[in-house]
Amino acid sequence: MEIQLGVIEARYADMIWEHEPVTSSELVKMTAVEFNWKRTTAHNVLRRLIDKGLFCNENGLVRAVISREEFYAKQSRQYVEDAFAGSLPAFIAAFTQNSKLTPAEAAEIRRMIDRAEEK
Amino acid sequence: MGDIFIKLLNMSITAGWLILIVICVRLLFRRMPKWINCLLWGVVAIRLICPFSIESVLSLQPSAEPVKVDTMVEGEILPYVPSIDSNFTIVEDMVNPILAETFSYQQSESLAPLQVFTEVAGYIWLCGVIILFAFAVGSVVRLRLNVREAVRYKDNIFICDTVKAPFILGIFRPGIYLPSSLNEREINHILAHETGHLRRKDYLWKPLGYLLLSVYWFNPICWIAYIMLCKDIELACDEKVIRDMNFSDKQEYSRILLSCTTGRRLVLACPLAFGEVGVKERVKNVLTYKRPAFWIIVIGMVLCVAVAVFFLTDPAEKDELPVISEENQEGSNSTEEPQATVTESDGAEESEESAVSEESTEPVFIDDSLPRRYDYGDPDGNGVTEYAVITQMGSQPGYDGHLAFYFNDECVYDKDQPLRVSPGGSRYIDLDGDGGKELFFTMNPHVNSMPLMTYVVLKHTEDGWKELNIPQGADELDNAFPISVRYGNSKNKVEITCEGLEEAIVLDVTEHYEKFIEKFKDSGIPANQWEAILAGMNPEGGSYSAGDSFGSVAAWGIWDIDTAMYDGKLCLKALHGIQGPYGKDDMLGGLSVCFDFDKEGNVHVLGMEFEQWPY
Repeated sequence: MEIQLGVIEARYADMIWEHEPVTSSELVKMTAVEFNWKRTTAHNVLRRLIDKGLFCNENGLVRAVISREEFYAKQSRQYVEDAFAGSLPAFIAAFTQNSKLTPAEAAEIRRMIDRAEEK
Repeated sequence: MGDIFIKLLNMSITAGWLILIVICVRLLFRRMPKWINCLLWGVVAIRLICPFSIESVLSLQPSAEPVKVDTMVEGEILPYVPSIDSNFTIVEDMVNPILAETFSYQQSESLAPLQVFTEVAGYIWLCGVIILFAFAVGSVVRLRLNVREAVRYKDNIFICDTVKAPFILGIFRPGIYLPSSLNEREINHILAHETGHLRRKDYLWKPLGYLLLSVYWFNPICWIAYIMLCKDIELACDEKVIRDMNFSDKQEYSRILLSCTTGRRLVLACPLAFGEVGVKERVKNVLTYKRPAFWIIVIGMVLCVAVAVFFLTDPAEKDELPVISEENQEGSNSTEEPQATVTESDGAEESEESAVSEESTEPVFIDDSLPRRYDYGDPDGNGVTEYAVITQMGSQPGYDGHLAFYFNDECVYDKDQPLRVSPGGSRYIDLDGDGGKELFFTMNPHVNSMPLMTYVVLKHTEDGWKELNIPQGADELDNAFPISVRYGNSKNKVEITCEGLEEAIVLDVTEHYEKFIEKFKDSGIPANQWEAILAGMNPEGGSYSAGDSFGSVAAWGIWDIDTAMYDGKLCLKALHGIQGPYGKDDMLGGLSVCFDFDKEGNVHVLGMEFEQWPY
């Protein structure tokens, strides 16, 4: 089964693999330094990694369930971002927002770009 | 709450016209750079934020106050019966009668149906505001939770796994949040766009627009305006980014726009979510963008200024206080209109009001005795209209009236009047020279034959408003000054004096009576009496002597009173008719007495002027 990791999750996981077995409070300190994360954030992301089956937490001590080499061997290099629940509210300045395109529409726009000529 | 709602309703209607104009301008001038569109939306925002506006003859707004809580019906104001003022009489004639009927009420009801309606509407409005506000707060909280695990990339730029699309969050220290899965190329262009947003301060304008929308949510035009604002902001930001790009860079930017939209997963099409520009439109805009010529920008700025001048201003209001100048001294006669009578904020109704003041010398038969409110303008100029509530009892002349005067919404005078009255004008000026201003207002009792104007002067003291003493004759309606009209010392001379003044005015009435006789020769007075008139004016041969009473002040008392200047001093000027002994038609002329008050509140006569009225 393919498990997807975001770029930052991956960095965190690498950090844990490098230092495991490690206490969760140690992890909190390390992520505070590395990512400037709060305690709760470090725990939340750790929980996600644990749920994905990479690590386990026994009484505050975090261990690897699967080794780093084993894990990456199983993955393809295609990262898929986790979409957060809901879309961006309208009053947020963004790059693009919530529109979705059919493959046909996307293709049409791609054609429009490729065929455009300088005026 | 109801008042707030009505005020916002009016503001949104006036802004609505402006929004329609901006939409037209956007349609007509599509080649304009989009930042000019954003300026136009800025003008709209000003209109929606400011409760006040400048008056200008250049204003193209149909009305400063489209929905009125009181209605003008045949020169009278009905409180709490709504009406619309759109400057389109056709529309008004259709809608206003329906409104008047729907919201009519009896005096006995404690609350007019309109008051109930606006209160309820006000609370519904408030609920809408709270809902929209809560939604915004909730979204922001949700976003903040999601970016807790973001990691700083550089300065105020963060990378986050859980972010699908790049955005800016925060008002005071805005941060740019990027998805972690972008490659180098994409990051550069996207950062350029987001930095563009930062420099244009869009992270402020968009929430501001949303805030205004949550206040004016009940007006659908505002939703349209907000959607267009968001579009224009995005397009303007794109334009800022690609301004200096070569064509192939622009193509690349477009590709990145496209790929960010589709994401790695292509999903089924769904309609544009609220407040967005379609990717197709943005790509088209980018690919066809040309740096605007200087003259296009100039036209754009001119348009912005024009829109602001024509639609940020309100139509000019009727002038309420005429300028007191030297000319006003030269005696007024009874045909001059009392100034600043029933006033309304819309100039279009001016002619109706003049009609009221001229008709007020004749009894106006009103079938019911509802207390009615009459505006007296704003003599102290503080924006709060002064008004009187007048009750007329009975439907025949000779019945009582009652007037209560409200100065800045405080009742300062509340008395029965000896007759039914129509409203006059008001002034707020210093009449006793103590540095503080007194309130002066007039009424027109409904009398037959001769005109009558009664007046009240109120002074504000520590113990409240005090009515200053004014001359009062034998009759309740006689407010004339103590003026005497007597035989003079020589032939055909008449002397007019006023108590408190040393000088007398001496008239030669020869010509007057020659013409009087000529005019009334056929009126039925016997011929020998005519001869007797002129002969009788001789103090040597007649049966009267100098100093005997000759004529009198004409009924009923003061015909007209208003402020004036006497010897450079601000005062009140009361016009009296001076009548000879031969009846109503024997009018010698008009005597104006100028007076003010001393520190004790007593009348102090300054002088008088006489104007002969020729036949």
